[in-house]
Amino acid sequence: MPGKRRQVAVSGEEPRGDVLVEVKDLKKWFPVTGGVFGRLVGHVKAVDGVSFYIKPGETLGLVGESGCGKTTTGRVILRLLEPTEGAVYFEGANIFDLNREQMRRLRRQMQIVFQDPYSSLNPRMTVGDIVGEALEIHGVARGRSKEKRVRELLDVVGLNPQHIRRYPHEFSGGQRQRIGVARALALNPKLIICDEPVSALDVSIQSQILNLLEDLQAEFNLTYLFIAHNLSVVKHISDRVGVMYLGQVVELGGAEELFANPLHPYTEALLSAIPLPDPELKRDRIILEGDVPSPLNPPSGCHFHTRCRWVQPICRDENPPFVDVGDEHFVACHLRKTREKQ
Amino acid sequence: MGYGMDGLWARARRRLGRNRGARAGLVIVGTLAVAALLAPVLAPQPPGRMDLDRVLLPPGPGHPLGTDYFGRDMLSRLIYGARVSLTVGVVAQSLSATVGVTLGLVAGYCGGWTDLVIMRLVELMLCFPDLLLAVGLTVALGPGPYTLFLALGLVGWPGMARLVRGEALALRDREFLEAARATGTGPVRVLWGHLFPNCLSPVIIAVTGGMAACIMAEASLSFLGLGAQPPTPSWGSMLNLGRPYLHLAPHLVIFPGLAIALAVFGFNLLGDGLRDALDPRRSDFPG
Amino acid sequence: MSRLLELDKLKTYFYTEEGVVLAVDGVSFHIERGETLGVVGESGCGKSVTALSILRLVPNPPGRIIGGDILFEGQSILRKTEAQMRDLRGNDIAMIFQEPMTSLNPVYTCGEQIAEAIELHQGLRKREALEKAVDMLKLVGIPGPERRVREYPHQLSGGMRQRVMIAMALSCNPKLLMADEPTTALDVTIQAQILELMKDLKQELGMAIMLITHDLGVIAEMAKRVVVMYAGKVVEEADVAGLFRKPLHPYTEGLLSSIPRLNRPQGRLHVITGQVPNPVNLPPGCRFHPRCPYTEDICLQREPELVDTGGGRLVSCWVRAGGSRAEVA
Repeated sequence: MPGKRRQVAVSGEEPRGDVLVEVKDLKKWFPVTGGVFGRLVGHVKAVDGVSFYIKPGETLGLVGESGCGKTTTGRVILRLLEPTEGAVYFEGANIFDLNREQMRRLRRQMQIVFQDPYSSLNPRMTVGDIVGEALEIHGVARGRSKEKRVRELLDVVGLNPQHIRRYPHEFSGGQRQRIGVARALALNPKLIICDEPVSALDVSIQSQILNLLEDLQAEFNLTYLFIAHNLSVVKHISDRVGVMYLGQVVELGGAEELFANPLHPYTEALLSAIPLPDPELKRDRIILEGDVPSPLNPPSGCHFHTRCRWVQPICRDENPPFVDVGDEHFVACHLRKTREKQ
Repeated sequence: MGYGMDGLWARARRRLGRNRGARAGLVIVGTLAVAALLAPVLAPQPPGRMDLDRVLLPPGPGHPLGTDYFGRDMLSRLIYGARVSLTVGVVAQSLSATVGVTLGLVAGYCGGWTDLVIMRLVELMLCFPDLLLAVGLTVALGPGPYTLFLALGLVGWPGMARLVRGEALALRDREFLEAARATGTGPVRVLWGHLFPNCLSPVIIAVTGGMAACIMAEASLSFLGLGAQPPTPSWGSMLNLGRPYLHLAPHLVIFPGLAIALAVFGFNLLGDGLRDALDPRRSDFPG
Repeated sequence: MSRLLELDKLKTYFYTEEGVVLAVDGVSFHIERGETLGVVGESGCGKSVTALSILRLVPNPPGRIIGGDILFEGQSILRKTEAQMRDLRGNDIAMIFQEPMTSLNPVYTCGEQIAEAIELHQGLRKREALEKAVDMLKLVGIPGPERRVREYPHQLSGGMRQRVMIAMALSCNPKLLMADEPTTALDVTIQAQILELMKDLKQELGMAIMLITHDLGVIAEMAKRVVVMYAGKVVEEADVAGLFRKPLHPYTEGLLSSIPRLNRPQGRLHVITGQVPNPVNLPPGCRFHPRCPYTEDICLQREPELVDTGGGRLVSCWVRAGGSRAEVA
């Protein structure tokens, strides 16, 4: 294996006490088989050594381009996928050590809101059944009390409670996303993973959903892991932001700080690539050459070295450590120190 | 679990209503079903009543479709024959749908080894010509209605399993199933409560089309003498028994033949209409 | 010389089971030679149908152009024969789509697909056309064009495919390039590459671009003039700087204040209340009135017209421009 094992700054065997979720050196490799006999030819390293933590009540944003592993990270944290390596601590307990029944109980604490408001709602179920199913499964409420709770939830997310018997196709995209949010809220979870919750929505509807998510967070003291590719949206809603590239978090810091003072060359390029809705603003663009390499065979050393304009020999050989440069601003770049001096 | 289907049915009804072929199919199938249900009331005579003075009569007064070589009324026998044909269709299709849907869902949703084993079994079944399999089974178990159900049901399930597996495979990674699992829904409920209702449209279409195939198969088996046994009237056996009199009394063959053709035609029309009506991919406005 | 493209009260309707969809309902705007016009709007506002109408590619049934006119270099497109249209498409007017995977044919190589257009419109032989295809790939910045020309679409990344699409569209030197959400399916860093490429090519080749998108950032970056559409109508037209500095229509205003900004501090996001209206059941009067914070009585009753407020700024709003109130009085 090229490169050394990634050092993790949030290390130490014991989970941190003051956080809700801690992800430690998480890896999810998907086997790739080929040929007539289904021989194993390699692994797609979708998540390749990711570590971060989420504090109670905060929103951690996770950004990156397609294939960077942000969605897979979310799925593994929910244990919808089993990890290849690493641990996820929820309130101090490693969720991968839980048995079936313990996991089922834990599911009440963590929920997910999906990207596509069309494919994430079962077209053959009524809104009442979609939102209320979790209540039934976990024995929280059934019959009348279930219906009452569903009506409350619909009201909370800004839908008409009388529409409880309607089907998803009778709602617009924005309203469907509200149904998805109501479903996630049903069991009073502590953590909600929002996987691109506004990407499929029209601009004028996006802001409605973003505001709703903020209101709900304040009202129910929710913690969000907000996964998205739109940096403006992520900056707006997040307290802290992590930037992913090819299965790794390359930089993580407070939202304002990260966007004002990006330390990783990839973050820098990503920020400058966004077209700003401000025609009179003139700025220098950093245009990255080429495409994102395949996660099937990521580059050696620093995964970004093939597109980095500052690349040095060390970048090709060694995977840079993910270190805290102060104020919980983490970055994984060999050249951080030398560039700071310039 | 009581998941409603209102959206699906309402749209299907609306579209079916506008499709001429489907309406015609519905009328044909409906008429046959009523005939089969109300056979004792509708038939002018008991199907088995012989009248050896009036054998091989051509269609005419008293016997609108003529009589056979035992002087039995052809119309009555045809009406009773609808019972056999439809029952065989319904029972055999239910059997193959139950087995096929279950195995298909499990194979498509679970994937891996389960899928591999089930699909190899399906392919094995599909290796044998349908009719040969049915004939073999009938010979092994002896002819009779239950054998017929079993034989035709057994022939139908691999196709159904394949169809449902494909649907399940396409739906497996849809986010609403992931949402269900994220809530802690168990696999059985995910399979039957979430996945199955979404595979229903193609299953309904396949079952309707399969009815036509079953009626044909029943007729073929009965024609070979392996289906309904005398004196039970069935369209296929009527054809078979009328064959020696082809030149003398062609109506003995023509009317059962027409009945089979009509039923198959009706079910096929209905099947095609349902395909159009239930297919959610068929949308009217491009964007 | 006449304008390159002029739409005059274009109406394209779709006759569906649910009713008549007024997808494009009296849309007028124009494009000058060599300029980039941005067309902004949300899904279902009619921006894509407008583009398809210009090429006369509206799927029929259920769609049909039922009124108005489209003038290309002063000639009515609607009166052309199908043969004349085929000659126009790809040659004078080219189009690129959002999804580069589905708009390329998977069974032909990229070179063959580019060469086909060249053979068809420029009467070159196959070999010459293939050579030109290599040049085109070089032009759109594809590394190793001699090799890429023999590759199939699935062998290319999304960004590369969009480059191939652009190469194909530009191979016959069109006067107008219509780009329908050309970067929406791409990652930000790849989007930046493609936008840069389009700017460079426009400089080099001098064609006009009609850029259709929902992304106001892309509009700000690329367009000179902007047309804002809502529910099948043009609600505002302005030069890009003016539009972003001071939007006139309440819809544009709401849109601009509801997007999260990277470069300026922002509290709670502004919200346009309600939903995009159902296209078969549009509200009477101004179509935006149920969502508009400034609604007056007249907005509920009469549809405002697009009024020139001077300086190339047009707006269709009773409150902001009187929407031809003079005529009513």
